[in-house]
Amino acid sequence: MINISTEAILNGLLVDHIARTIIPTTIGVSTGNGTIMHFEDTITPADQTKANAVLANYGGLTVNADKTTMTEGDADPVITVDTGIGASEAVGYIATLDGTSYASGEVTASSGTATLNLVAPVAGVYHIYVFRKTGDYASGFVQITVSEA
Amino acid sequence: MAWTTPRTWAEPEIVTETIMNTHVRDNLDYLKDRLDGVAKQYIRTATDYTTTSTSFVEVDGSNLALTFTTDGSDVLVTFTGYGYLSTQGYIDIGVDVDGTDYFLIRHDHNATPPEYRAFTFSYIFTGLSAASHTFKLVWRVETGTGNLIAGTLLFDAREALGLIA
Repeated sequence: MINISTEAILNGLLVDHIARTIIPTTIGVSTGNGTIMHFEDTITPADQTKANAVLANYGGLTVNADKTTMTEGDADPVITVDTGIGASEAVGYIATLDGTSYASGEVTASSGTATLNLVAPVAGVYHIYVFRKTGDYASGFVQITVSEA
Repeated sequence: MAWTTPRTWAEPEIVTETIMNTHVRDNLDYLKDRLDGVAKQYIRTATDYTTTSTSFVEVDGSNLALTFTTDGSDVLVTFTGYGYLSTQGYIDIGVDVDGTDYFLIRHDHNATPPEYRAFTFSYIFTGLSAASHTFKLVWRVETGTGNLIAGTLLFDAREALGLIA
């Protein structure tokens, strides 16, 4: 097993999702004594470089939302990333609701802006994480709190 | 310093300095040496631990790694903790002894998560040489994210002095 780590304690769910998306030899991610990415011994040097970039550029992507607090029934919030990505780049995302996985996927930027919509959210705290699958593998997030109607 | 079988005293022998030093001083020193430095313990009070690893990995290679030198006695390892799995599945917990993983307990989480469970084991490792040994807490999950809660976790390793005949 090959471990690549940082002393910082990062969001294990996000780092695990990124790792499994871009590095096929991923075994998992552990947190508590820093953040440790676990890989099969067959991981390539190129993939080890990717893993180090994921950790180094964690939080380096700016993710915006047109509203960060709302009430159930309000218009759906719109999440955008318009800096640090390519004009037509496909970026990955994972959303959590109260700390558990809610949705994940990929969105393609248009003219340098990637746009996501949080459709009809129910009450709770959402974190929408967006990450680059190429380049510097930067990631970032925005929090949206939805109150009961 | 070696242990000397306690003397059987008989009258009318005279207790000499040599006899007292051998059977009282030296034997007490031997017992004191055995008790010193033969137990290590860590109680977690800081951040929770998580893992998504499906292979055994160290829970905390710095703090949950207990190293001490034994005289060849068995070692009793104890763990208590509290945690949950983010989805339905199992969490396995074990001990890495000098680089070899020993799978000890499995907790199935079948209810709607999070299903908080108490994790505990007490295990005696036998056949250890008289040398320095390291005991590390390890774990893995079937799927999802395993969580161990800080403030509830205790990991202890100590020579099982006299516990096994």
